Amino acid sequence: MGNHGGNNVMTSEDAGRGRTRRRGAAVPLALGGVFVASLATLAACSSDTDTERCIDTRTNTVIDDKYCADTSTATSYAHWYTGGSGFKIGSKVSGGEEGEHGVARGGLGGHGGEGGGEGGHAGG
Amino acid sequence: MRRIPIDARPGWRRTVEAQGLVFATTPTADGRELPYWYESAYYALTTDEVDVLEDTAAQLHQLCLRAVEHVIAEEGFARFGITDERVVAAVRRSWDARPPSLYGRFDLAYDGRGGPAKLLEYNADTPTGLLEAAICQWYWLQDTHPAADQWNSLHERLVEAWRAAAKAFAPGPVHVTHTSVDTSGEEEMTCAYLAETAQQAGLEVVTLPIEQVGWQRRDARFVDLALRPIRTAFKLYPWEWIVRDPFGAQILDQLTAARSGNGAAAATQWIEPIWKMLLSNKALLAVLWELFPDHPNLLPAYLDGPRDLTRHVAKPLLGREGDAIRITGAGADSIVQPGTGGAEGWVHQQYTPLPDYDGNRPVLGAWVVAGEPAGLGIRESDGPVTDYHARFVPHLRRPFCCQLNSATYTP
Repeated sequence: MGNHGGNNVMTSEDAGRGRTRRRGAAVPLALGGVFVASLATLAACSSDTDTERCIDTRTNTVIDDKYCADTSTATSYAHWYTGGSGFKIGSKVSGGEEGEHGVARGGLGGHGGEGGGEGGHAGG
Repeated sequence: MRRIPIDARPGWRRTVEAQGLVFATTPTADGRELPYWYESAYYALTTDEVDVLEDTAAQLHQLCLRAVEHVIAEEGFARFGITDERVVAAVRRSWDARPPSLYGRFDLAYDGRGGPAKLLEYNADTPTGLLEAAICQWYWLQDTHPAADQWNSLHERLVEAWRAAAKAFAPGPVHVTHTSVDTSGEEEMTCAYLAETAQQAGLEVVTLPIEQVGWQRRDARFVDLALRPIRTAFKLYPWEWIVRDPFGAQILDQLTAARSGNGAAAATQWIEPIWKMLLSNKALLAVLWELFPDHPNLLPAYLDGPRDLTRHVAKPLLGREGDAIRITGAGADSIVQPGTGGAEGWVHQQYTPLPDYDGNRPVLGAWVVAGEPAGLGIRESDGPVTDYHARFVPHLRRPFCCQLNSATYTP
């Protein structure tokens, strides 16, 4: 199907348009970096963003997220924590990285259980 | 334009999945799997047709900008269902400042016989279908018709658009956010692709789910998971949802704060900018018809009812994926699509039939990047509405019309 004989002959006008308005057939596309990393992450069905949880820094134990989202000083012991081990409420954490108090998350997204894109594939 | 059957490449699914199209099929409610990427046919357009469609997209974009200008000048926000004064102020400020904008996609009904393409809607805020249009169909062309061309400069134009936009960005990385609610992988991969194009433009990029964006009250700024400030953010998440979300108030505060006032230094610049919520709202169709009546690429459209239209389509102003659309007076094409919508109002647009290629009904997605026409993606359906079960079909461009075995065309 790839051979269309004379139909592939481009006029000079076509060639001129191709330079500025269309991709010439010889232009390579290379995807890498963040794209490949995302593909790999999706393939593995995991995400490091899932590991964030709220901890009580006095005891290094996991507590409810609401304490970290609370921006008052009354809960200043509550900090976000990423990576490492210890995920369930009440369990000790270690090996991860401590964030800070007063950062609220979850204030964007999750609208009605839908994705935000329009007009591609939407059956998922 | 012709639709030409062709054998799919052996292992096509693995091929497109490796290119990032992890959503190559569409699951149905009854457990079946329909193809989303469909390469057992392709559309062939002539150079003349592509030239006209390119000009159409460029012209429509300019008309849309004039419509936005009109709406803002005439205080026409209520017609778009926008009554929140903070949103009005943010849109106005954004339009005045004209921050960087990346892309959009016109959905066009095109009869394939040389008649003018008709605007169905402009997805200018959160368009998807990008990865398949920019990458997958290009590689398909290389594999199947390496000597042919395609209306497709999406990738190069996106990279260049990021490069140009970066001049207006604050220091620091660009955060590219997707919603993790979508489990098909479409939104994440679309964002990953856009992140890739930003990276190829020399920008530092961080990707994260929009649900993980943090608000740091102490410094009145948005932060990522490493507590880095988010100064420039791409979002594949519509503005009409953002402004109603819990962080909507903070975002609107930032967008309307005095440029040199409190919080201005920490403000996040969002792509697409908020003024584009006027373009992605279907009330735009009525404003366009009001301003440019009888324009060959526009269909009569009204907000107060169908008026004298005997065959018309009622679309929710903020409808998505064909939800709740009602087609009236169109014979076998008359339909009421399931779904909710319409709380903000409806637009009533003259019905124009999609062409029918042996039961396949294509809609042309004409891409615009940085205000310039950039490529084409074609989705086809079995019915008159391009909905959740639509499939993406690749295309190629021929220098002139050729003798081909093509599907029978039914006007």
